[in-house]
Amino acid sequence: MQNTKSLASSYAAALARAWRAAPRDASILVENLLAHLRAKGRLALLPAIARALKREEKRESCQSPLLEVAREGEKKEALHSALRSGFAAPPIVVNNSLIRGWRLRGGGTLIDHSAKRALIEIYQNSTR
Amino acid sequence: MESIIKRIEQEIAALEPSATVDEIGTVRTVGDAVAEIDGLENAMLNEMVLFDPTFDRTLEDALRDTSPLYGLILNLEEDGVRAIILGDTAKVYEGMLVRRLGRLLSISVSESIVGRVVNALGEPVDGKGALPDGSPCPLERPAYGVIDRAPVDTPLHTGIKAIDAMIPIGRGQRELIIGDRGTGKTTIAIDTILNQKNEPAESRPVCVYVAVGQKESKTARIVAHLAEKGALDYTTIVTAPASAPAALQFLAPFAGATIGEYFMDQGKDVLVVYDDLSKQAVAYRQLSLLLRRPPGREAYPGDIFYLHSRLLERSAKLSAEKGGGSLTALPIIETQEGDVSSYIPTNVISITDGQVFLQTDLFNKGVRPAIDVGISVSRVGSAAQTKAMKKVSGKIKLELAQFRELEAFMQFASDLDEDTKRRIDSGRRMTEILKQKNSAPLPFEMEAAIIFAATRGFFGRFSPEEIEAKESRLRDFLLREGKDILATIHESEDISEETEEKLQTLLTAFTARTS
Repeated sequence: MQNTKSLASSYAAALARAWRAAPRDASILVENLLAHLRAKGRLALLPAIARALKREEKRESCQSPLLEVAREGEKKEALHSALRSGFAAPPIVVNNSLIRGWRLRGGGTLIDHSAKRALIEIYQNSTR
Repeated sequence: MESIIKRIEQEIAALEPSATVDEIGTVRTVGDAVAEIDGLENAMLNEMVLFDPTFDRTLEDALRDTSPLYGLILNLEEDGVRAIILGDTAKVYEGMLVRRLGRLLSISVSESIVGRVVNALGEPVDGKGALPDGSPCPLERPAYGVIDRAPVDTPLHTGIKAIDAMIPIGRGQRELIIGDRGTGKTTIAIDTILNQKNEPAESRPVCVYVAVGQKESKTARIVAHLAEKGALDYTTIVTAPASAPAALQFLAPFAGATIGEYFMDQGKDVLVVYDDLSKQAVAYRQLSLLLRRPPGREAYPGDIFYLHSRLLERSAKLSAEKGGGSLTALPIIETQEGDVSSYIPTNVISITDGQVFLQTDLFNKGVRPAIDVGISVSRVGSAAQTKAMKKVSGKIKLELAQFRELEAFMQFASDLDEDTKRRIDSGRRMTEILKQKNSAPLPFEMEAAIIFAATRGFFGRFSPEEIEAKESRLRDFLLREGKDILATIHESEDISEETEEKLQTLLTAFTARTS
């Protein structure tokens, strides 16, 4: 079970790496993969490879930049700050739970300029 | 409550949120107290991370539970990291945000920790309120090097006659207490802590008792016992009960060592009891298997020896330049069926500076503490033994070991020569004299006086059955009429010729009265 999982993950990682290195027609990549799996007698791995690719895609989406603002009116200032931080025009979404301010995540970094975080910090410091 | 509200209102009024920058990752999978985390590319081994449940919740939901949940990174892998969860695993979920804290696992230590019961993260669990902020001390720290150390030369009295006379322990030593379950290992450790009350306040060691994988009821009993005897005033209890996650059981001894080092660095003497390292090894084995590290002998990971050696190497007697403090370790190991040759016992025996071996057979015969003097040893303690104890204890250990051999032989021999009979007789008396009730440690001058009486033949006219009562009467007699002599031995830590003469006279008077 463990071997099947790691083999499927390896195929998925190789496929993703090949796609990233030279984006081309997906059907060619998949056909080549199928031919390889057929030759090796590993066609049964196909569903597991698909699941691993979905996980990989989800992981990448977590890493891709996203700017959240508390209110529509704060978009401009937030975007300006994001650009200054080195993020090239990230997608912007409104997240009311931030109360005020904005936060930006991407590439394994989180810049949090929201009132929600500040209030939680105050609460933690007061009740500790 | 009002003060909290007022404080929050003040803070909100002045609120101008500033930006914080964190390195983050997300939980990929979680199970069995181990989380696989994506991201955190720059994370270090043994670094603390914070699982943040507030990130994707509304403020109202987030404020319901803001207690921090930490993790400790133990595996750095190609596509992420694996961390053990230092708390409730059920609170961690897939996709949860994880923040790097950029610091090694540390606990906050201050003087106020003395007298308290804390968990492996240094958080109080005794219901006496929060501890004030102290110095952050990393749980894992390299041990002091050769240059910083001094030879062990000061005794750490246990108050147990058999140990102080035959297996003396020095301040800065690591003396293993080993034996099957129910042989009195914890009792020896606790009595040693209790005995520190007999030391002058200025040189009294700070004690740390680390309970790993113990029943909470047992730990509660020990805490109550220490409090009742007034020993909690100089003792800290670190507890990671059997119900605690394996991660905390693995970390608790390191927390104990860290607390001890805090005081040692101030030039104080410290005694740390690790009760017990077998359970810590089992917890570490569990974590290692969950972290998919290759199992070795008895399924323990390859670095199990290093786990104990790096912990016990932190015991030291520091040089005068480093303040002259010391950290004495009394690790406890539980054996199965008296087998000291299994994996963990042999590891710890080889790491420590000696061992006190307790035997079930002796315990069942009523010899308590059930110390097997034949294989118990202290490799450095004799250098720290007081002159008084050295003079009186002399060859007790050898004679007692010979007696145990002869005793076994006696079962088959019908005819014994006079010399053998004499040795057996004297061995029986000495065994009786070295018996001691629990929670009754003796000041070393009293121990020296009793052993002096025994080795000089003052108990010779009593049968072994009478010894216990006679010894008790002797103690009362010495306290009543030999106060000056005891004080002299205590101060000089020696028995001069003059003191010896006085003691002889006093003991002669005692035997005359009791015969």
